[in-house]
Amino acid sequence: MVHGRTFTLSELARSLDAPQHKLIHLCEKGVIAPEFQDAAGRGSSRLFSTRNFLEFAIALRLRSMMTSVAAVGAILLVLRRFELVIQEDLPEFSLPDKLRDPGAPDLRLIVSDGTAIYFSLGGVEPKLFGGIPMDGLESGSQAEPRLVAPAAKQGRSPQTSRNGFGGPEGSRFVRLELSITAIARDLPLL
Amino acid sequence: MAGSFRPINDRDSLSLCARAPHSGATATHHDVARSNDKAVTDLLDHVAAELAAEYVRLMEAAAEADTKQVPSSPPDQKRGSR
Repeated sequence: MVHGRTFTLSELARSLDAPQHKLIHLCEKGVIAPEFQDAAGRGSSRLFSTRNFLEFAIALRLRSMMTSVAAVGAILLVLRRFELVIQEDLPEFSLPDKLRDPGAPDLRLIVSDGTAIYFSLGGVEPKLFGGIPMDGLESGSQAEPRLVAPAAKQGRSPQTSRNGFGGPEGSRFVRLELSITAIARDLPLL
Repeated sequence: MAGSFRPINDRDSLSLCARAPHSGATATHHDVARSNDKAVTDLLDHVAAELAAEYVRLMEAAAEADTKQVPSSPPDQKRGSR
């Protein structure tokens, strides 16, 4: 039995203004698994949840910025675990609904210098989490995955660095910042 | 193969996705964060757990702030509704 709102692939493609083959690619790569997998056999259709909707919206934006599939998969995996951990204490918590609440903390994603992924929470002085080393995510990587410390913890000051962008993580060359909260709020769910 | 050039319709799309969680997913998941690699998964879990703890803390702080504001607002609301 299916609980909650469901979407077909064509509905999501239409809502996200994206060609279906891009969504299929994300499914085939295992980046996004349809939450409602009750369908089986010829002629049956798979159904996606509102969380899947958010995942597609995030993934498409990241892919449009040339973020690797492996990195997108890792980011979505963190979000899935994030939701599960919170649900242990607050069973009613669900994505994207709670991110759409007016008072919800601003959850952002930062890809720093193409080498590390951070999450940030909060407003004026956001708190950083990560950074997940991107080279450790690629298929066949032998690199030992260790969190990359943000600039402040490395003794560098991102605000005063001549080359920096001023972000808390201390990116020097390239900085990609994406508001997961804003994407969640922008989903046409009404 | 002629079928490959057909316009993608809903049924085709969904059946392709349907393979992911069962057969193809085991192999292709290797592309996605090397989910078989326990060290990577542990790292992602660690980040998720820290993020979740901070998120809950911020929500509780916001709820507490709301509670403190409540005593002054009901009389105003009553006045406004009349």
